[in-house]
Amino acid sequence: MARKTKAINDRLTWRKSFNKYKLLYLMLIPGVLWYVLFKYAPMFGIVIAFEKYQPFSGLKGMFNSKWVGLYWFRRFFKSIYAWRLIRNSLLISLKKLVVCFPSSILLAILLNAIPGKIYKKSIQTVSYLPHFLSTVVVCSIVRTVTSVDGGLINMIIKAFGGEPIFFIGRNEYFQGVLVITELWKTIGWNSIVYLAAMTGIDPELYEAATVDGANWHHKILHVTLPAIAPIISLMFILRCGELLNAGFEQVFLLYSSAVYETGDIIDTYVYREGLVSLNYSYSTAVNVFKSVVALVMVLGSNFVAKKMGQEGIW
Amino acid sequence: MKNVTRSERIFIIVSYILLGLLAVVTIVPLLSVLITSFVSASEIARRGQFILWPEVWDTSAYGILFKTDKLYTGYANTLFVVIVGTALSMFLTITLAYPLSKRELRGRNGILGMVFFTMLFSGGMVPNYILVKELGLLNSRWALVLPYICNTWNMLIMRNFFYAIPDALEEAAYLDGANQFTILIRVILPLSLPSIATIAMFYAVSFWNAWFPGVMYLTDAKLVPVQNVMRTIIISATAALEDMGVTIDDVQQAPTSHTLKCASIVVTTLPILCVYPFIQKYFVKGVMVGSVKG
Amino acid sequence: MKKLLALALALALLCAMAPLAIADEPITVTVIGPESATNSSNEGYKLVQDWILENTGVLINQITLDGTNNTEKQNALLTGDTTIDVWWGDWMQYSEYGMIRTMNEYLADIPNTMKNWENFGGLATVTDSEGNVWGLPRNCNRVFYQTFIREDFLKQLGYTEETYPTTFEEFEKYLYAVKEADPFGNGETIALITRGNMTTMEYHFLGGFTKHGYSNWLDETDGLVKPYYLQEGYYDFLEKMHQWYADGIIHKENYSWDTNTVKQYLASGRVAASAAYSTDLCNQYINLRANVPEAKWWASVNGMTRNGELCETQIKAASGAMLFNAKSSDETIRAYLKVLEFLFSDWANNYSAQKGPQGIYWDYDVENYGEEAKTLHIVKDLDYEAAGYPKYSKDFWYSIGLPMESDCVMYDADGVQNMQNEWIRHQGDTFAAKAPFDLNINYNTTEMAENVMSYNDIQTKVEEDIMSFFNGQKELTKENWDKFVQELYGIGMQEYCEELTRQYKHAKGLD
Repeated sequence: MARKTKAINDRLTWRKSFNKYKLLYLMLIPGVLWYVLFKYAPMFGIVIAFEKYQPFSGLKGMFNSKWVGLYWFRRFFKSIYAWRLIRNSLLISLKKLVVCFPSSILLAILLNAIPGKIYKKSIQTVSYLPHFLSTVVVCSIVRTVTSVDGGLINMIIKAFGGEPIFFIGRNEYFQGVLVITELWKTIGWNSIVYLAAMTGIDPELYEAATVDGANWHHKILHVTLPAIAPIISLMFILRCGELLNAGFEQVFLLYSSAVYETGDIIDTYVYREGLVSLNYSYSTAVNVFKSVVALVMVLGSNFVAKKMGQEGIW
Repeated sequence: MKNVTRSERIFIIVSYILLGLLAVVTIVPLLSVLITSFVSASEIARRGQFILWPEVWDTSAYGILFKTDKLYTGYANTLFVVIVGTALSMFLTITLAYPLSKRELRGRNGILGMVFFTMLFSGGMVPNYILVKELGLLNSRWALVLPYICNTWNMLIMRNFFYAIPDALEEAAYLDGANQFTILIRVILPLSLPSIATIAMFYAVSFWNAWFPGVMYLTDAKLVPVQNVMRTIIISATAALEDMGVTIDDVQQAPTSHTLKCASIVVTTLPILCVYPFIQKYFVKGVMVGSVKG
Repeated sequence: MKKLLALALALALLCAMAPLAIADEPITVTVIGPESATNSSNEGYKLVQDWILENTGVLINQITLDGTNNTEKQNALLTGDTTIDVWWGDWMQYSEYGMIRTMNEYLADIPNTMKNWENFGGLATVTDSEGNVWGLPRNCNRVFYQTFIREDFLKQLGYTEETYPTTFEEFEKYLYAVKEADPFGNGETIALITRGNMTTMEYHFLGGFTKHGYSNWLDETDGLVKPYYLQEGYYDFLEKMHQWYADGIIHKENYSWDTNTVKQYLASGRVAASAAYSTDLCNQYINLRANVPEAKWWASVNGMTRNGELCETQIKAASGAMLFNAKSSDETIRAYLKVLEFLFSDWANNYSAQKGPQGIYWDYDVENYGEEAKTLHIVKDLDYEAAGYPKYSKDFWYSIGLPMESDCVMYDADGVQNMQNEWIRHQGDTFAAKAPFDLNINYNTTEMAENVMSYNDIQTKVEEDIMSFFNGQKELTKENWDKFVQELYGIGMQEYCEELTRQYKHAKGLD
């Protein structure tokens, strides 16, 4: 409520605002133009999802192609693979959410708990590092490490007398590989925000808890977690909007037709249909479906968060 | 720490161990790639594929990589994208973020909403592709730059930085008769240099690591950035070598493809790992400020 | 100030984007280079470009794809603003989109080039039912999937030339024996390599199990043309392949390899038998010898048989062709044809496009073979590096050159006949393989996808499920197989067969 009143007090009339800030308005122009051109113009491009757009017909094609309404959407839902794509996208990102999201919080709690400054710093430096590697590098490392021919993991399996496993070529392992890769890449980096929130906690709170006879897990449950709850909720809402984003680049670099059953996701399908098979209209329709679902999810989770008394993103 | 209970001490010890394990798990794959890149073919033939510590540190894989033209053109392309991309990004990000950090600016919420909406909804791959094509950017380095020069998230972080600067400083300059351009350049920017450095590095790293635009928009082998060059080598070491104009007899004993793949990963990643320790704190700061709502 | 500087920088950069003015003297033709054309140094490329310019007055501006995701990239280029005049692709697809021109009126420009194709009948593959010629042929019906066996391994295992495996059963015995003997060592011998998909196994072995091999077929009972996997005997084939995979005859990761990885293994010396594309194998032979000097490939020229049926299936000349942009000017097209005619009317010119100009990069081997070398096209490589010339290989060697290739004997630097060359000459006349039922018929996949709504689903399901049966992710039993076939009918196999039949009849003029 406080924020709202403030906003009202700040309000100038358009004329006054313009007079005072004309240079700033000028300054906004390139950025706004960029957004219009590179973000909003492509949104207009989704009209081809409702047309029979001919590849190679350029911008003109968008205006004079045959209007087919929801044909491509119907086609998608008629396909026996529609459900599989949605399921895989959801499953992969849910698994990532369930594993990676709490892991970062846990890491932050552990880092916060230990007293050794240098140890803490070095762990942080090491665990942030994978964030700076490109997906290509990360996936190449995954391929190398999981290879049946002399990869680290299979060497270990062999040393214990097991049979080497072709992890990225088997349906039963593929999603696991994706999740672990994601965990490896993001656990450190994502813990930063929680650590930051924790540094804001008044040390007296911990001391008071100690005086009250609280144990370490009480402190975590009753001091640390409540303090970082708002940031957890914020992060969670942001992740919910991503629920249909199972990580295109990662899947694209690791999958093969042998693991379509568990690895093919909406984005890779959009890529194959659109840029490989030239079904531009169909591919766009599938993507529109995905975007709409994602939008609904963010709005929905934001709504729920507010209802539950947490702050939303807006 | 005198009144630490027994269970608390155990908890701390367990924390140390878990964190140590995490560090090991993070580092080992990277080290194994680094070490494998130095194993010679003869040693692999003798000792099997996976070697923890080579008897001889063999650099022939690097010798081959540094002999190839493609690596250099790749690096040149990447440098172009990183430098030009980051410069343009900073220009656009600052000129957007600064006005949007002014509470009283009318229309601010409208523009913010418009910007924010793009984080939730996008046209998707194919319309983006058609746009780039219609702009005549296909098969040009600019296709790796222009569509990516503003990142909404970074812009919002930048705006939060500006937001945190006390208005009083600006007011003083304003009363001295300075206009907003001058204020931005003379007052605000010097104050926010660390934050600007942070955001610039966010951009630089993402430009450095980008590879998918190279797959989508570039066809001419002479234009591809180093990430894509590396990917070609990873997919097919021998064939890629031929493509690069190196024949097997160029070296006495060719390194195995495995060694070569690892070497190419190292070559692409090393520059970023070298600067990483120095820029790490900026990154952390950037994430922290970004998480505080404006 | 900083802002002004930034602005000035942005402006300068924008200006730099403006395309540079191009001098308008020689006619420039833009061509997407053939896939093999990525080996040259920049100087080598320039040298041959100039050589062509000198001889024809035409400047070829060639775009080379970087080897990954080439389909997407070629499509990207074609939609781009760079006008591409000439490229390779499926004429059926591009003619549908109105992108390419008919070549009928231009054929007279290149009489010598076309003469090369006379004996090969290639023109038929690029001509539609109305007689429009949509491009220049790239291929004709040939056998590209011979099953090769390492002769040096055979000898190590005690085989003699009389006992070399020529039947499927003997071949299988060899696979298991070589796996056991592990001649490469370290347990790293790969008994059999495939090209990373079912298709190559089908080309190589399906003929021994079914009547038509890897081919659509006419089901007499209902008069419909049906896809190959619905043939009697396909199940037995799949069972055998699965068994090989389970027994480790085929490498565990093989099914996920792309062609480049397969080539890499072929060159490594680990492979004891190959069910991969013969061109890959032949072209890697020089690298294989670098790794294993005594390595030698052998294949039974009479084909492999199983119960008297030929195992290998002939490959259909696909609708792939050299295509010409409908938007390019007449002048440009004729200029390019002039270059083609220059390269294809004379054998030496053609070879120079592959190797680099005669006298610098290669010459007739008169020394060893006398004047006959010139008529028989017996050549030797020259040491161009010593003479200070840059590396060049194949950039301007356009792959409509099959007839030219088979009209010569090529030797590499070691004096060994170029294996690709040897096999192209061989297979043209003598190699025995099954001919597909619908040999000269090209199916139009764009129409197919339009008329059969589940066409893409069927393709995906077949590729994926058969692969799963092969690698054991799905258990291969008669029941499961029948279930799979039923599922196919459930999603529209009937419509698909009807469409195949319709197109088949249309192409045969039976409708």
